[in-house]
Amino acid sequence: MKLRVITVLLGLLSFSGVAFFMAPASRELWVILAFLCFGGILVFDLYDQIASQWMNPIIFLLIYALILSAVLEVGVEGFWRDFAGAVFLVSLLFEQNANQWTGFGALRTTLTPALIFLMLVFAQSLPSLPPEVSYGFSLAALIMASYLELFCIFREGSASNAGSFMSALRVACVGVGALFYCSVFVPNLAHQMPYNIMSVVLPGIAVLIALFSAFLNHWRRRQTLFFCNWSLFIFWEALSGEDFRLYAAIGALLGGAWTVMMTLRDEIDPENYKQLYLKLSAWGIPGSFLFTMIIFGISPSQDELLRRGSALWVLSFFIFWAGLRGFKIPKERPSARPSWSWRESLALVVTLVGASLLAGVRILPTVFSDIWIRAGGIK
Amino acid sequence: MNELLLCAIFIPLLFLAPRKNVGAIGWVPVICGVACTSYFFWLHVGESTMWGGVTVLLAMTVSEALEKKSLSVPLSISALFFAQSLLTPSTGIVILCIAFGDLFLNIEIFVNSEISEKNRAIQNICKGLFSVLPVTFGVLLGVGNIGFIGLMAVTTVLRLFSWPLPRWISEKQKDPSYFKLLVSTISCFALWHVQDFSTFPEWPMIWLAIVALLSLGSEYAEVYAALTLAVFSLSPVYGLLGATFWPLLVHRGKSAYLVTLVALASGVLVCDVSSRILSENTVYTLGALTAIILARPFAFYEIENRLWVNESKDIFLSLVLLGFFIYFLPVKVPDIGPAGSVFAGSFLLSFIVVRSLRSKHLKFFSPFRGLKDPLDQNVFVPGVKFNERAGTQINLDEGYYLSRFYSALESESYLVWLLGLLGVAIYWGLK
Repeated sequence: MKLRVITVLLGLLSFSGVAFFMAPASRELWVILAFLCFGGILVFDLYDQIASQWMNPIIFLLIYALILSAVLEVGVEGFWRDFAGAVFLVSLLFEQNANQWTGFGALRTTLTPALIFLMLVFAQSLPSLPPEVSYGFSLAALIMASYLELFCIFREGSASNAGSFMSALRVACVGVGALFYCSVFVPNLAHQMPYNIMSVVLPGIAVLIALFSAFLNHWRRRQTLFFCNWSLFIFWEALSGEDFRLYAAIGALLGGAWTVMMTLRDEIDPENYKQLYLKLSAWGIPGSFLFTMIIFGISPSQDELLRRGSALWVLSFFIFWAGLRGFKIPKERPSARPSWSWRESLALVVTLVGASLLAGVRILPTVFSDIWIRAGGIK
Repeated sequence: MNELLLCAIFIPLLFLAPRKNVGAIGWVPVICGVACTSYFFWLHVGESTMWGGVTVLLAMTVSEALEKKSLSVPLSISALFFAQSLLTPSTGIVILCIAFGDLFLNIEIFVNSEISEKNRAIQNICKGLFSVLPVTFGVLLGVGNIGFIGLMAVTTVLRLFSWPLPRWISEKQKDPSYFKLLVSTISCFALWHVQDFSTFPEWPMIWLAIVALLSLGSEYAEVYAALTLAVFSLSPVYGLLGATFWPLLVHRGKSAYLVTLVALASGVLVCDVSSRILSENTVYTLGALTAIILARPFAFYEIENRLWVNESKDIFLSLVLLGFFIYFLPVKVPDIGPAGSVFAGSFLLSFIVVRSLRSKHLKFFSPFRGLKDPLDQNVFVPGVKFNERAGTQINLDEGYYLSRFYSALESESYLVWLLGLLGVAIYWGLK
């Protein structure tokens, strides 16, 4: 186990180092962002999922390498090739770690959306396609990648995908890919007809998925769909073309990828408030890292469509929160869990600090300037 | 945005607050919060609508602390968030502060209760958020003034009145009145105090009529708080004077008679001023009708026997607050016109009649029963619709068409359709 962890860690560091020194100045921040995402997934792996078998660390490193090369590509074709490879490997990881399941439905495997995603990527690269059609396929591909787990949601055992490292990897890959594509290759797409309508279409899809999730029995399945929507939320923020929303998307990406890994999968002990807090934080309720990112992401805008989109996002998140009305603490105390480790403590601190960002990022400077003015510092 | 400084200070200490044996360290966020509130209070010292509400909240908290002789950490933090919501000029931040205030109240319920109550505390998070949804949509969509006031009124109805839909805090009688007042009265006042009602002068009369309608099943404290909001939308100064009697709502005592008198005065003021904007006949009719209906909850109120010391303490607090406001605010004694007199006469007559017939248990005067909370209904209970079982196809008890639809979703041939659609899209793109 230790050998696998050390391998992943060394691979992560060496890939990051090489990519950072090879990257042009404009791409260095993207390398750092990818490192933070994947590094966080490794650090917050509370249940040692990545190191459970050799195939996991190998594919993990392959995905990381592909994402790094995607953000270092000069042309859009190269980006899509690397990104599609990463998404396909993520879907393969879902199957690699899945429990046995009955049935042959092609729509019950994550490989199906990955294949459709690949075809959409091929389609968008057809040379004779006009750019607006090509963009359409690109956006459809990103939506498809956001909902990889939706296709296997009815499969037995699929509930275990919630809080899994595959889910976190999907959030990280799609998040980095969507952010990079929207801000580097198509920064003004949101202001062009007919793509500006995506400001409403994307949250509309999220509301539909949230409504669908309201009918699911298992909270873990609902949480899987919550994080699928979270990927779409990052994509929507990146597509908006507003600077502050792009920064919010970066925060949402880190918050989303890390929080998936911070989710505790055990039964709740009502006396352990820290566990309960971590568990509830994964739903983005007030006082969590994700809630801070939601507030940053839906900040009021001058754009009418973005405003409508923000309202739809609030609605979709509320539908998920409404699932809390069925919350019940088990009557029997859960069997003793391994002691609270440093990973859980770190997760708790990160979540709390993330929650505090709501005030810290924007508020403190204003407060200090207020004090300064009141004290007569500025005449 | 200043007010959210509290979040930066408190939330890292969130996990300390719920511990029963937290000791002195748990009071660190409370002390920081008091310091912050004082600072913001100082910032807004020239704006009476800002500091007035906080002063009332402080008086209510003092009343509760003197009665119970204790205050818990989560409850104090919650009160501080509500205090911050009263000090902020931005509706968006008010909503956030209310959300955090609700959260800490739920922590208080969670910590000090049995397992079933603990479940309720978590379930309440969603119910609390549900109540602020309308006004949140108003902020996000940039709805215009009158539309926004309407959305804010919906939120106010959801948070302030226990009828027709129950408030999340009032489901169980175990919740003390102070809790209810924080959640309902203070949070609604926080939402109202940042609005400009001058562009909609008919609003106080409209709100009075809405309050009269909702009073059919509500408690007297809710009706009184709503009347204060009506007066506030007429004139913030009079609204604040009305709010000075909120400490009397914390406990059920003989001071209810004093509150009834102030409620009567509030209605008189609203009718009188509205008669200058709307046609007099309309105001006479509306005033008389609302007065008759509004008197019922006041007349039906069950008064508890309290120690005269405690009773006097609440009245003393309110009177001191009233004197303080009269001294610092530009209060003018209004002239009472005929419309006000009609309201006063109808209210008093109705009050005396209902009070004298109350012991007869006439159904006519009983409060209407409310609806069940839609969030508690089984309409959307997960698992009812989809039976997540193993197997190649999902077993559904739905109708024919839904079954066919879900079967199609599960079918492999659906993939062929998807690929076909993709082909058509590419073909269309190539054209």
